[in-house]
Amino acid sequence: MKRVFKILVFVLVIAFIAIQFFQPEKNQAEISTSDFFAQIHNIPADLKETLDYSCYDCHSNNTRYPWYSRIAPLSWMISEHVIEGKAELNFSEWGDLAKRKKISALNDICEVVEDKEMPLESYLKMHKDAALSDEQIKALCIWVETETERLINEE
Amino acid sequence: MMKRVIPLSILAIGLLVAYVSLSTPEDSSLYEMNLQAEDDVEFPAEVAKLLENSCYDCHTTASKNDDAKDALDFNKWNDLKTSKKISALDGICEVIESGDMPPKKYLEHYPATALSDDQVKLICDWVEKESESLMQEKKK
Repeated sequence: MKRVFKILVFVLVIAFIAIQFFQPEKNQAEISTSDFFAQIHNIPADLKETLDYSCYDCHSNNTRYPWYSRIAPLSWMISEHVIEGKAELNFSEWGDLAKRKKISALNDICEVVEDKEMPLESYLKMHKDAALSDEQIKALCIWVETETERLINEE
Repeated sequence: MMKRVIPLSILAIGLLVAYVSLSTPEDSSLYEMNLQAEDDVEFPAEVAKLLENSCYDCHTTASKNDDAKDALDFNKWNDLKTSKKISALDGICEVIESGDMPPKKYLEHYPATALSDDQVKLICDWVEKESESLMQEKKK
């Protein structure tokens, strides 16, 4: 039994080392293009901070990668989150959205944050400062409301 | 005296019952299940038909599906402000395009409620037009 156990551990260690050579692509690019959300909308400073801490890692073209995020298979899980997050909403490409899509997205942003669906729980486990307080949620939703009204009324 | 009282009483009761049942307005919502749309919601006929057929079972006030009603209740469409309408419209096209709606379990029981590609396109085209018109409307 002892021998089988040793072999098993050995195999797992080799496998673990091997998968480190198969890493997903990093999501990193110039974030502040003209399509970037914060460049298109007038955003109060504290809301900017909220977005940066709590949203951009998955919902922009620029993810921050702490050391542990580069260890497989964790790196693969993170990559999945980023791919799915960007597909759903990408703040770096906000300018590409049609106006009605912007309005809809703004509405959804408030909703998912109010429902505590976002940020993801697994993300919050590793980023405690990314959790939004009730005040932050309220401020975000009020801003969303004014902004959608402005979008609807502008030429 | 007694010989008359009883039949007269029965007649009186009978008349009373008839009067009450005839004067109480009929509750038509009992008959129309969940398919009755809000009277003043003006969806184009083709779109309204599709929505009624494939969506109203869950997405109206009479539905017992609370999650569905929270997400969208067509009977409350006119209560939504413009930005929420635009958002709901976008959501409608998205979920039917992705095949998320109607839900698979629901389709298993009611296959006739499935939306064909053409029907999805019809609804999505309407969503786009309606959103544009809602945004234009606001500027008046």
